[in-house]
Amino acid sequence: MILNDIDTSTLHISIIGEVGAKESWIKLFIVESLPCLSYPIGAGKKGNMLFKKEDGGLVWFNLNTQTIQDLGIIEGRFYKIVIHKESFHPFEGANA
Amino acid sequence: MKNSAAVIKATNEKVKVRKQSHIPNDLFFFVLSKLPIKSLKRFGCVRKSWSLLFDNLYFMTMYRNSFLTKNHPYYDNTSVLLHQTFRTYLQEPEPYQLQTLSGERFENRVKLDWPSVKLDPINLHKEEYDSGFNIIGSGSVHGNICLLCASQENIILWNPSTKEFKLIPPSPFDSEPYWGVLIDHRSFGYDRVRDDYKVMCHGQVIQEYNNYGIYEGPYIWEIYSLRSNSWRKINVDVENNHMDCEQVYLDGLAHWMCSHERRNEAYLLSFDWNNEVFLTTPIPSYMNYYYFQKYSPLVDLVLLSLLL
Repeated sequence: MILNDIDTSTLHISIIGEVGAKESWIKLFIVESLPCLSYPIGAGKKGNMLFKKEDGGLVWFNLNTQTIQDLGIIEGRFYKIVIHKESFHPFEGANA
Repeated sequence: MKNSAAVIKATNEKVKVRKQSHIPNDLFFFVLSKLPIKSLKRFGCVRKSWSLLFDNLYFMTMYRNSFLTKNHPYYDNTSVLLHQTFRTYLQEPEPYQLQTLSGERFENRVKLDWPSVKLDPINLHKEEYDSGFNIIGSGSVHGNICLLCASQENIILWNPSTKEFKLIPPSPFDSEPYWGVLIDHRSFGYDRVRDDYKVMCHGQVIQEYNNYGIYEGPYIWEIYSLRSNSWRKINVDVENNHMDCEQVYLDGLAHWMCSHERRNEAYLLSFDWNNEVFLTTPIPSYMNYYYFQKYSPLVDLVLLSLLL
């Protein structure tokens, strides 16, 4: 879960341990002072998160190395990251 | 005399064993940093120092590193897709586009073709189909993506790798002449017990009186099963919730962040696709409901890593 605290431009990332359990979250990352980043769009792989910048461009921010990789301006109004794991099984195979 | 010698010997053995089992903290930390949070929390009762692991800065740095760099088999053959929404004229649905992002730094972008099914033209005056689809959730479920047409009526299951797709029939609860269901939430998942893909919708039954107005009926949950190729209503013990973020699907469960205004509660709501039941997990204790509400447009749920 990501909480974007705009008052302090800080991102709090908490990880869930067990669904349904009390006190299940652990705050794992606090990313401070990212003034040029507007809001997080989604997570890619290996700690890379896609952000929208204030100037409209998109960037990858790596939580591990705390580095930024600029993707430039990509046309669009809303963006979403979709993680797709390839599968070649026909989804109606079980129906036959 | 003989007995006491045996006791002394036994005690010495114990001391020896204890000495041998003394493993430096570094090594313990290294092993523990590979474990999921669920296990770490359980191991907290083994040793006092282990219950304080999450307060240990050295351990947490190690844990963060391990959390993000671990090679989990889930990430084999996965691609990162970027879904975009574009603004068109007001009053018209927005078109959508999907691209794969690849390369060392995801710098290569290739546009993906949507399934060639002609539905819901974006502009009623245009014959060609160019609206694309919205996507339900933030990932594919066993390689299948659940698409929603721009008009928000038709739902399609699609495997981008095989190009296979399936148009889901409309719900019978939504097909009566003067009845309809105003859907406010849709989700997609997999029931591994029955080897079945399912789509779930939540909405309010609306009835139109012949020009006299609208009757707002009860809220219902309905579920579509690919195996039976049909819809049915389900009775679940969950009140009308405000689910305001993207679905995250993992291992037979779909998750959303939820807030319940009347009860001043916020939690993670999870749906178990096998048993068709909801589970709730309270939000972190450092974040009370009012704090959550203040930031609720800025709270998001993502699948960051799998440490299983």
